[in-house]
Amino acid sequence: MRRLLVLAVSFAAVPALASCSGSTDADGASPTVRTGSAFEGAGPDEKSSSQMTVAAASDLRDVLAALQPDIEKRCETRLTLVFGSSGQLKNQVEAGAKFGLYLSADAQYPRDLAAKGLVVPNGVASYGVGRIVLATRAGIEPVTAFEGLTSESIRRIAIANPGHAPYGRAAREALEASGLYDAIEEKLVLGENIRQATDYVEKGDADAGIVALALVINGSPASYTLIDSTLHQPIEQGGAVIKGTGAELTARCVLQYLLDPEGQAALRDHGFEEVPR
Amino acid sequence: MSLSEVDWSTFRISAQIAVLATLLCILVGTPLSWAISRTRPAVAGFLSSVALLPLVLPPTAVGYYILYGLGRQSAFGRFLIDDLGIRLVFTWQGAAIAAAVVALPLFVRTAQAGFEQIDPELLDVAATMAGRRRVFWQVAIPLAWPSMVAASLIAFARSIGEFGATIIVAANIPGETQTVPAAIYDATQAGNTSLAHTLALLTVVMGILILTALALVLRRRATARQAR
Repeated sequence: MRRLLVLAVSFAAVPALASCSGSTDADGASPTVRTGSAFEGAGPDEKSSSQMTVAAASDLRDVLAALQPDIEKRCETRLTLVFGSSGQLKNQVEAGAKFGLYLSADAQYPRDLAAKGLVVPNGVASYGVGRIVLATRAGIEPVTAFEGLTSESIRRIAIANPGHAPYGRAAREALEASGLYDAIEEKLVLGENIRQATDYVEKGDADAGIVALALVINGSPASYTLIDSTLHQPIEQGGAVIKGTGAELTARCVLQYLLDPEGQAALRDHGFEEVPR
Repeated sequence: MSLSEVDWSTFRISAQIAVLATLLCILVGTPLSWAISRTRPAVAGFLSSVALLPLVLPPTAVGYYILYGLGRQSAFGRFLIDDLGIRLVFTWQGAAIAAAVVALPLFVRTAQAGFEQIDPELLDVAATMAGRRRVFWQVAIPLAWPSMVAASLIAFARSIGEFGATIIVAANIPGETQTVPAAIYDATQAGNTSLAHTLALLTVVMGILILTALALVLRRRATARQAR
C-alpha cells in the first residue's frame, strides 16, 4: 500500500517537475522591450515572469482594464490586478504580499516603501496626477459648487476614507479649504476606496460625492463638475517595483508602459494629468 | 494598549444594533421556530431551510441583497425612500436589519430545540382545553423560556460581531454606523496596529462575558429539565 502511494506520488511529480522547468525557461526570458527610464539601474539578479500581480489604486480600474491586453502583449506576461485604496495596498506590501508592482494614487507611498528597502534601485516613478470632481446622483438637480452640498436635498455625500485613500484626503482638504467641512461633515459616507465612493453615487445611495475624475469621465450617468485643483495637494500617482518578487523586470516594463507616450495618452483620456516636470 | 484612542461611540452603536437585531430575531424567529416544531414535516422542512439560508450564505451576499432591497437600485427601495421617507441604507437601523438576518438561523435553531423538548402529549392535552394562542403563551413559552433566553443571547452575540453584511448596508460612518468590528477593520487598514489591538482585546473581554451569561442560562435550562 505504502509503495503504491510512493509510486503515485512520484508519477504525479513528473509532470509537475516538467512544467516547473518549462516555466523557469519562460521566466528567464526578458521582455522584448527593455528601454526606458524605468529600466535604468536594473540589477543583474532581476527577473521577468510570465505572471505578475499588480496592486493598483482603485482609480486605475477603468484605465488598466482598457490597457491590460496591450501591456500583457508588450511585457509578455499575464497580469492579475488587485484593486484597493493606496494606503491599504501599501500596508499589504509592507506585510509581505506578493505584488510585483504597486501603483499608488499618492506618490509618497512608493517613496516610503523605497525608504524601507522594499523597492528595487530606481524602481519608483510618477505617471500622472489625479483630479477630483463633485458628482451628483442621477435624478436630482446636479450640484455644481461646494455650497450646494449644504442643501437639504443632499443628505449623503460620499468620499473615500481619508485615513488611507488619497482621494479621500484630497476631498477633505478641498472641503476644509472652502470652509465647508464642518457644515457637511455629518453627511459624509466613507467608501473603502475611491471606487466604492463613486459607486455610492452611481447607484444612488449617496446623493453627491467627491470622487475621482478617472472613474466618471467615461460614460458614468452621474453628472460632475471638476474641483479647483488649488484647493488640495496634488494627487500625484506613483508606482514602485517591489524587490525580490522574481518579476522585477516585468514590473519595470509595466511601469515604463505607463510612462511611455502610449500609456500617457491613455491616462490622459481617462482623466489623469501629466506630472509637471 | 491605548484606551485613549478608542472611540467609545463604536461600542454604543454596536450595542444599539445588536439589541435591535435581537428584538427583530425574537419577533420573527419565535413564531417561525414554533411553526417549524409543530407543523407537518414537509412545511417544517421548507420553513427550516428558509430560516437557515443566511447561515450558509456569505454575509457579504446577505448584505448585497439587503442593500439592493433597501437602496435606490430597487423599486422597493425607491418606494421606501421616496414615498414613505424611510431611509435605511447608511443607518444603524439598516445595519440592525442586516445583523438580524445573519443572526436569525442561530436564534431559530436554539428556540426550535427548546420547543421540541416539550413533551408533545402535554401540548396535545393543553390543546383539548384551550385555544392555540393560549397553548403557546401559557404552556409552550413558560416551558421553553430558558431556550428563548439562550437563543436571544446567541442572536445578540452574533449581531454584535457582525461585520460583512452590516458594513455593506450601513458603510463605516464614525459616530453613526461605525461598529466595533468596523473600527477594528478601519484601524487595520489604516495601519493603526495599537488601536486594532486594543479594540480586539476589548471584544475578547466582551465575548467572555457573553459566554459566561450563556453558560449560566444553559445550566439553568438543564436544571429546569432535571426537575421535571
